[in-house]
Amino acid sequence: MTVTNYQDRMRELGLALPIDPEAASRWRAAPRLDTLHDKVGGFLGNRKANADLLLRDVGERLAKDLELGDLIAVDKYVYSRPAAAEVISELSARCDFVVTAIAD
Amino acid sequence: MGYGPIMLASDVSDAIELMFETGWTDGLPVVPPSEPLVRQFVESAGRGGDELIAELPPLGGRATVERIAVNAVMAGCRPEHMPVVITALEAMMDEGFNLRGVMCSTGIHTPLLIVNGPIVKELDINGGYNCFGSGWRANATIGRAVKLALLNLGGAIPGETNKATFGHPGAYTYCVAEDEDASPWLPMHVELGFAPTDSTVSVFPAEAPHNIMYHASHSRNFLTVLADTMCTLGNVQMYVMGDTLVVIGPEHAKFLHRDGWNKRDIRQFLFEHARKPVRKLRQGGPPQGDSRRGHFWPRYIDADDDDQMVPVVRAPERINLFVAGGAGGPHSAYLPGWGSRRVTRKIQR
Repeated sequence: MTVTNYQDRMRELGLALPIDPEAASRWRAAPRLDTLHDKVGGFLGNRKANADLLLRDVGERLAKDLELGDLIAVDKYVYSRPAAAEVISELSARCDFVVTAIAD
Repeated sequence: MGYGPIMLASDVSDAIELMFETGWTDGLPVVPPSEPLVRQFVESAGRGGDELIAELPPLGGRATVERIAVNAVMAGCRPEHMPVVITALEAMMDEGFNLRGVMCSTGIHTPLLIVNGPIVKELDINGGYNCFGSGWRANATIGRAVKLALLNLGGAIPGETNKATFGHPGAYTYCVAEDEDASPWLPMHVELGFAPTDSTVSVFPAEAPHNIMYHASHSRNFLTVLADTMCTLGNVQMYVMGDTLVVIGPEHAKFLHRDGWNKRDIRQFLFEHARKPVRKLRQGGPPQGDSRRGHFWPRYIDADDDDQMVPVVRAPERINLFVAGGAGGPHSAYLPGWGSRRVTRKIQR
């Protein structure tokens, strides 16, 4: 049964929805680049050792295999919180794409 | 079909099963949120149904009064519980609480609600025997309503966006009152500057209550036992700090008060004694894997000095303290936090 069917069934039963049916559609994937060749990649770390390891490895592979133009690595201050606005602004201004990693 | 206020038994059964199919439940059956019931809950909230209370992370679902009402009906609440549920969700949106992190972490904490003020008696919220356990409708359903909203509107789905390694029994419901009558001290909300006639809800990302057994009546020894329990190497707070929570049982509160201890003294004692040396904490392993940078210790702690004693919180006032539990039991409880803050809001009615 699809989500729409669920909603129809709820209506048939006279029930109200406990969810926000639009929530998921408000999230969009970042625009895709045609190529990473010669692009500037940002690598946003969360200061956790395993995440740093994963991010560093991904960065090195991308730099080597796809010949990135540059690689900018920055850390956010607290792993469980969003990066500070100035960090995001800097990455937006300087990078063509940004990769982050989550690992505990 | 069950349009309007009347539902056939088969519709009720269908509705309950539908909630399981959709994943819009915590794993227990829910009360079908019929539209008349939801309207009644919205009216009881005293706010417009379309009023936006929060965009709940991680998904960012828009938690309007009506959608919160739907989840409160499903949880088994009574309409008069709505103001507590709404205020708790509002409080969790405070940046200090870090709701996104709380709901997505691999840790074992979950939001706890602590209710103070006259509303405790009005709604019969339990702060006495078995206050963290079962048996009280208000505790069970108010806490559950909040958790259902976080699941259904916040999208904190176990194993998907909610990465808790073990999870927490309190993820079903976690709501308690302070037993203000049993406390020899000011209630928690009054300490925080609210009037005794105000009703408040505090939210705190808490691990499960850890029992502090102490059968004698020596205040300093009791506090030493409590402090020792608070600073274990596995306690995430030894690295990430934030707020922590101590619940003093009525029996312990009596002899502490008899011996002249007030809350400020207790906090100061615990701050000074719930400590571990840097050398031991290095064995524990902070989240970032490097004890010299992987912590949020107070600036005055020298992470290169093995003998420095690290407190469980950055300052005494970060130790939250209230009285609850049944009379006669020589027990208190310690609930470690997760690095973020307790947030308290007045319940608007």
